[in-house]
Parts: sequence; structure tokens; C-alpha cells
Amino acid sequence: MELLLNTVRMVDYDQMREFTFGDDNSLKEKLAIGLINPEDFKNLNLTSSLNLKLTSIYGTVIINPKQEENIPLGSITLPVSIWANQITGVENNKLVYKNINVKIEVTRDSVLDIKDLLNSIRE
Amino acid sequence: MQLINVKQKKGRISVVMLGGHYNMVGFDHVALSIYGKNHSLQFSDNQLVETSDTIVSKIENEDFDCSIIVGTDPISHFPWKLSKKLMAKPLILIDNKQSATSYVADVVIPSTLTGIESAGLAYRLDHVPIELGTIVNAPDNIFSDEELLNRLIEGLMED
Repeated sequence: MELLLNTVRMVDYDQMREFTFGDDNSLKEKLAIGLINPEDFKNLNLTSSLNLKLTSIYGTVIINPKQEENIPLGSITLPVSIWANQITGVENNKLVYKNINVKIEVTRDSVLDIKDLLNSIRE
Repeated sequence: MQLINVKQKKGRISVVMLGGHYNMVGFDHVALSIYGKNHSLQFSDNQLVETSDTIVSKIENEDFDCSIIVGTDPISHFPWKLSKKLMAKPLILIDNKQSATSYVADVVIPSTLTGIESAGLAYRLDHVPIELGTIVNAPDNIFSDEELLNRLIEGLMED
């Protein structure tokens, strides 16, 4: 299944707030997520224990999906974060953060925490 | 845009992009005021150099020796391929908060909170400059980002 990805700043899922008031666990819980329409959630046979592997032409990331009625069908919204930026990229010296096609796979693989993610970028 | 087109007949109207964070328009305002541009600013011998490079192209082409980052978190905000290139060279961070960039920086220099621990000037979203005062004293040996940058420049001038 393919969805259209947009990265968006969201008050309830804000990395600066988690860096300031939270810890690495709350950062992962709040930021390593993707909001999708409940109908897409159902079509993917998702449950709360399953994650999503997102693959764009720029990279791959595993996130925890959450249902959100305000998200249009066929799209996925990720809060701006280091997780979202595993699948964003650069085109003609411009940063591409929106309207990115992503392949969606349901997975039991875990979401990486921030330090593991940073290590994977460094490698 | 329709409003601008209508109003433009009677006088000037401008669109200003709203920043998402504290003093985000400060850099844009100062850069535009002094140099007439707010990005692709490159200097050589104290002179602005005309260039088509941007911060994105400079990082992508690995055309830098080290980075000094002040009060922001590019490692969280850039696509990972740019973050990887930024992390591959010495990275100095001046900031007063934890971030993904502080996790990977080679040197982190803590700075005061402007408007709380040090005085300073910040630009409101509508580009109105606001003078900020000091509410509490900063911890010993913690300086403002402005003072830290001045000291870095002085140190470079001595070499």
C-alpha cells in the first residue's frame, strides 16, 4: 500500500517540548508516530501492538501508527522530528518535506530510540 | 494574494512568513536590513560574497570544514542524508537546551536564556524588536550566545 506523506508541526507532538520536559522515551512515544485515517488503519489490519515501516525514495523508518479522523484517506502525517526526517530528502538543493509517496508495510519490528537512530545515521 | 493585488493599487502591502519559534525572524530581519538578503550569506575577508550556494548545497557538497550551530537543532530538522554529512565533520553547538544536535556535537557550549538570564534583543513575529531584560542571574561561567560568538571571533582574529 502507498500513502502520501506530509510532515507537519503539531502542538501535541512537539520535539522541543519533549527535549525540554520529557526524556528519550517520551520523545520516541510522542514523535516516532504517524497519524492515519481510521479507515486506512482498518484496511491495513493494524492493531496497537503493530508498527509501520515507511519507505520513500529517500529512506526508511519504522513508526507507531495512530488513528486520526482529521487525516485525509490515503495520506499519513508525521510530526516534524528526526524520525520523519529519515524519509524526507533534498531535490535540486531544496528540502522536500511534503507530498512524498511512501510504501507502507505492517511490521512487528521495533521503533528505534533516538540514540540508536543517531548511530544508524552516523554509520 | 487577492487582497494583496487589490491593496497594491492603493499602496504597498507585503507578505511576511511567520516563524514557528522564538526570535525566528530575528536573523531574517537583521540579515535583510544589513545585506538585503536573508539566505545564502557567505563572507570572505569581512565582505559578503555573491554565491548561488545555500546551506543545503554547502552541506550536500560537503563544502565546509566545521559547523558552529547557535540555538537550533539541524540534526532533527534536516533530512538524514544532510545530518549525516553535518555529523561527519567537527560540530560545535551553542545552545541552552538538549536536542538531537547536542547528542552528536563534538563540543557543546551552554548559553544563557535570553530574556531570563541575560538581556538582549529579540524580534517578534511581526518584526517588532523587543528589548529583553534579565530576571535572574546566569550560573557562573555561562555566557550569552552573543558573548560566546564575540569571544570566538576574537579568538579567531588572534590566530
